[in-house]
Amino acid sequence: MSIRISDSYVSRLLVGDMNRSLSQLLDQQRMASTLQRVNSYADDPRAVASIARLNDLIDANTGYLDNVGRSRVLVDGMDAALQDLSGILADLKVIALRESSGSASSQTMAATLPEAEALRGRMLEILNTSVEGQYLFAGHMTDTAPFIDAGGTVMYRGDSGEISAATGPHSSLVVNIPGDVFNQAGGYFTAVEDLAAALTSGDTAAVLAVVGSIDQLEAHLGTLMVKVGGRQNDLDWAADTLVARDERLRESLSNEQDADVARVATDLSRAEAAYQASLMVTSKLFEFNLMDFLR
Amino acid sequence: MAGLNGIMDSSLSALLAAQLGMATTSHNISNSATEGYSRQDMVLSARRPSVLGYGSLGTGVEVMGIRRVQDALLLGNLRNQNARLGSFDVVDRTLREIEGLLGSVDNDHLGNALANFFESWNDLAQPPFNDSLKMGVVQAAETLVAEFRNMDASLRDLERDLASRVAAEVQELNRLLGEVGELNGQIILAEAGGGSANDLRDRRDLVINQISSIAALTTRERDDGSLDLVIAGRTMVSRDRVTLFEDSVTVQGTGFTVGVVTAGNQQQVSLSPGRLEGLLTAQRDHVSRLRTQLDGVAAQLVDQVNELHSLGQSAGGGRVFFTGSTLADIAVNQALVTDPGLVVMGRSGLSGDNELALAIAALGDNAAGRVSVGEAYRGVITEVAGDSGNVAFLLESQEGVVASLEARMASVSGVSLDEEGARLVQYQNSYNAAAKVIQTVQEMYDTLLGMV
Repeated sequence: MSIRISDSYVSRLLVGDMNRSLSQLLDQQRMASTLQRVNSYADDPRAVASIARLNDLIDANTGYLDNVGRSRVLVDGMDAALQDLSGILADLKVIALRESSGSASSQTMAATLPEAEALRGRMLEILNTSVEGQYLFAGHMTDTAPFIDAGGTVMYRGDSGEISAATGPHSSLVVNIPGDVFNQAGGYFTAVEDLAAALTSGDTAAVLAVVGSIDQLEAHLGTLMVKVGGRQNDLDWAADTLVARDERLRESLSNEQDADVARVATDLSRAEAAYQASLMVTSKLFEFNLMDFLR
Repeated sequence: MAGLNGIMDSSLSALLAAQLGMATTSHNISNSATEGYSRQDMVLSARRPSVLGYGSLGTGVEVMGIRRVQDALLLGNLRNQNARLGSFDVVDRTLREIEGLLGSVDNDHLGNALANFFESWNDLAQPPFNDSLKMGVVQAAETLVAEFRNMDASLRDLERDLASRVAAEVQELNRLLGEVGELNGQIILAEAGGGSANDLRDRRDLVINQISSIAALTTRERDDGSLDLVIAGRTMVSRDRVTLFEDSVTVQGTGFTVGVVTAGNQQQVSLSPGRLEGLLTAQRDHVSRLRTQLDGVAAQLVDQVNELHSLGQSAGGGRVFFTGSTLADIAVNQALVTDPGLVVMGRSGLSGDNELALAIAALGDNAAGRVSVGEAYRGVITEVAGDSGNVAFLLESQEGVVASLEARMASVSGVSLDEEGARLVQYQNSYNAAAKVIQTVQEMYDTLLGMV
């Protein structure tokens, strides 16, 4: 049996259709104005969870990238300091070789002594290098100069604490070298102090012995420079990884959240056409009824 | 044998029936746009015939009554579905309000404050160290605490709003119940002498439909035309006697629960679907639950941060970072607010020891072996989003069901102007024809009298 068509039946259907068309048009307009597919929780609850998670991950990733950048400042500072230290060792070795050769005399040794003491001062300055007020070689005691000259003998008063920086959700990197390592391999200051003592006493054999110590220190410094270089590489790799991760996360976020522009434009046109059609049909439908034809 | 008087009488009945038909059509046309109006139909029947020697002879037409065209089954179904729609609608609105409190999809206030707090710890933990960043940590913590407190106040406002809406719905329900009782009384009186008080019944149906969107109900019609109205197993209207509802508010901890009781019976009414039940569900299952879940996030934050922070050494020993444990009472330790320098970075208290700061920064999203604060908060958002999506879907489906039932009701009971126009012609023709018969009988009388 066909359905009976009353005026209120027609009215309800058309008004319902008109409202539905308008609602769809508004949804499409909102999507077009934000260019986002998900504008409220109800649009896609599963995507809401992913979007929240991805936004947090992107924020955290940006934080890790900042960490890597700041860590790089520290590690580059240490690299420069170690390069300078390497130069000082080279200069000390030149002095030791020269003053242990046959042409050396007590007069030349006495004349060379200020040069050696100046190198000792530069070494002290380098190992007390600071960045933004933080001493690089002090272990955890970054607010105190780690090496002090105590009556002609340099003492280390930092500790062996290692400082880590977070470079990823599950990764961290040690970014400092505690200054106590410079007491290893016979001790950097010990070598300089031994050279100064040998030059003062004019002892050629003692000067020659220092050359051997400097060789050991150069080898030791080489391992430290390799370690720092490795950290620089690790930081570069971490930065590359984080940048790539950032791109992937943003792409995932875009997939979850962003609207397909071409599709939005098409759907918007379709929704506008549907709404116009429903308005036109509604205005036409009640234009005539039987009463118009009864005389 | 039928005399001229008999023919005249038969035609007269047709005239009256046509007039009544016109009046019914006119009433239908007049009420074609009246909400709740059911079209009326005249029920005609041939009069009892005269039995004569050569058979039965018709004696005209009789109007048996004016009936409302209704489908009781459809009406009952519409009321049930209307009740469900009312419930979904209220819960949907509440969830949208909650969504507004939390913020937009990619920018929720509390989530951002949490992220900024952990980010401030990450900044502090990052060498080269800068003690002034401790001030940043304290400020981020104070912003976070303010967001927690703000959420607490907003949820409290929402709960109050829901409670006042329950009171308003109960008041409206009581008014409508009173109206049903009054209409019952009028219908009993109107139908006492027979017949059907169609328009009063329409009015009563409309009122009951309105009640059905507040609370699901069942009805039972009595022989006297009155309708008993039962809500949640309690007879609220019997003839013209009405029992009223009352709202009841019970304070519970930081929040409160709202319920409904009937006057004189303080036992809570277990309401079936409807706006009232929707409000109670929204308050209990969404607002209260959200508060409990966010209390859990706040407690987890306080516990995990304090556990680490109190391991650190600063002047005067280890300190907790937060005090309190709920949305309402969480606060930053006042000693740290006064002197941010007391914020610790590591166990030793040395300037380069960042172990604890790193661990606290990681709590946001990477609490080893346990659910992180960030994950716990996202779990809350996910649940609210899931509820929103679910209820929005149910609401849309239910709107479709109700619209379809209303359309079917309109199809059965609605007035069609075309149909009424056709009837107008039909009754007019019937009237004209009956008048013609009377005119003919009159001429026959004249002829007869002319013979005398």
